[in-house]
Amino acid sequence: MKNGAAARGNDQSCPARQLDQGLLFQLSETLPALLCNQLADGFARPRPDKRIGIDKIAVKDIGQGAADSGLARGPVAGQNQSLPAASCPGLCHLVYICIFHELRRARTGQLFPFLFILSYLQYAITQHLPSKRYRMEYRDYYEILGVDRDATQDAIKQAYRRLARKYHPDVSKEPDAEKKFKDLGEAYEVLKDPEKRAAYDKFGSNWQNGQDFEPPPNWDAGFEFRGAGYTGGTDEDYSDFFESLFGRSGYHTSSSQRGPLRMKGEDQHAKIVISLADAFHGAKKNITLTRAEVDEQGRVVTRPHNLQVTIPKGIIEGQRIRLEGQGMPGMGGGPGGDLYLEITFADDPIFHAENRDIHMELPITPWEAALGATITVPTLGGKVQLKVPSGSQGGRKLRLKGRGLSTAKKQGDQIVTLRIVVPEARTDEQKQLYRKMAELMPINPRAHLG
Amino acid sequence: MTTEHMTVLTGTVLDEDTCCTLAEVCRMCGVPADFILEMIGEGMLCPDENSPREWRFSGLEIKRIQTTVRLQRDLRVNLPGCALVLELLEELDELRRLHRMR
Repeated sequence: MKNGAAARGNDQSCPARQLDQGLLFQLSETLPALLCNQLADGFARPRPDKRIGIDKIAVKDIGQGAADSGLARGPVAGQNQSLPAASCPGLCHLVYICIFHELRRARTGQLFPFLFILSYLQYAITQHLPSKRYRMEYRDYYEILGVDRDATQDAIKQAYRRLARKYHPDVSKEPDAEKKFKDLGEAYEVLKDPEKRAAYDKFGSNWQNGQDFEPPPNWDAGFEFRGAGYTGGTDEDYSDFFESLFGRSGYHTSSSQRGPLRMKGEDQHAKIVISLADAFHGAKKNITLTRAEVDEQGRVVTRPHNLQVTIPKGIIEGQRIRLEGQGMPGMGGGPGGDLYLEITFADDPIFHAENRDIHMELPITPWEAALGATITVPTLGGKVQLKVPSGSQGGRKLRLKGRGLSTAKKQGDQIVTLRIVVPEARTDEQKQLYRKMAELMPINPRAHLG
Repeated sequence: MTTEHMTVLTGTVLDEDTCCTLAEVCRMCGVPADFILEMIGEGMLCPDENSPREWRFSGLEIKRIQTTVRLQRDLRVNLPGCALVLELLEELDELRRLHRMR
């Protein structure tokens, strides 16, 4: 909300009768969220001769900033988190009385009646529009499901089931599988219901997926689906686009009608990639998860969730760390869900892990293999001396005990696999040496092939 | 610019050494005990002891329960179907692991 912050800085120097960004922001902080929308849409029609110091773009930015910060849910967002705006017009009138006093207190002078009436008319026009007035993107549900716009209900169902199996987070290894799965659920939620689908189809086929979108007034006239017909998704599963068209899921509708429900938050699952060194030594890792949360206005917003997590020494790939209460927040004072972090190892140029054992390949010379040698070998805990027995062949495995991913209870080893590197014979002298070896040490390595 | 103080979180590692009772598992996975009994009946979970009071569940079994809950909720897979999916998923994980080591 950088514009807002800038505006805040102007508050002190704002002349009394000049309505500028600073004053607007001051007002927007003291009034309910309604004002932000109204300022963005209604007041931003400056008339320079009246000395309204409003820059239209800047005011829009303030409105957008307020929307981004969760202020601009709708006319009554500050007072009631769950009821749609249009359902409590009385409260809206109260809000306007507040605006009346605030504008008068702000000494907007002769502009005051004009601003107030304009604001009220704006509300009268917009109260039937969806409550979300910030920018959102059009979602092409047909494209998400990969079906034509004239697809039959059966074809839609089949497409959903096929793609749901493909992108289910437990099955798919694609990095954005969870998002795709949620998108599919949202698209199916609309297209499986003939009435919702018909209403959605009214927008026409000219919209592109991701295009900036605002539904036209009364787009849903003649349809009755708001607040009903949800099959299982939670609010976090639906986009702004979906919520602005079809309202929020039944869970919150019912909770607002029947009183608060105490419910544990959903568990969250995430994968974290750590180095083998972190697994060997143990570490503290900063991780950032994107989390959908319900803000003070009852809106679902995504926020980065920063955590510092202890990675215990000796953890292995595929194991999960359970962080109690760090999942999605609970509802109605219920406890938070749990966060499960599944461990994945980053690729390492030298080592790879198999369960608790750490494997590496050690290149050695033929004479080290034949005569034996003591060789310095890297391990995750530092360099150690490894004794290569004489007469070793390539592929021989040597074990360094306790040099793997060990815990207090379980020990992992480092397995070193020898790889003999044969020197190239470039000069005549070198070639002669190989011939002499063949003469002195005749061997048939293919004897077992018959 | 303020520096945000972050608490270091220490969790529980769910591994083969994890020993959760039936009640703990039910609470953790948000399922009734009957659900666990059905999974045992299907051969998806194999607690060693006979008495439910003595049953202990490992980290792998907790993962199985949670995956089954999601498969049933999201894909409407019935319990025998979940058992098959879990076996195939575990086999797939093993094959992926072997393939990556090559």
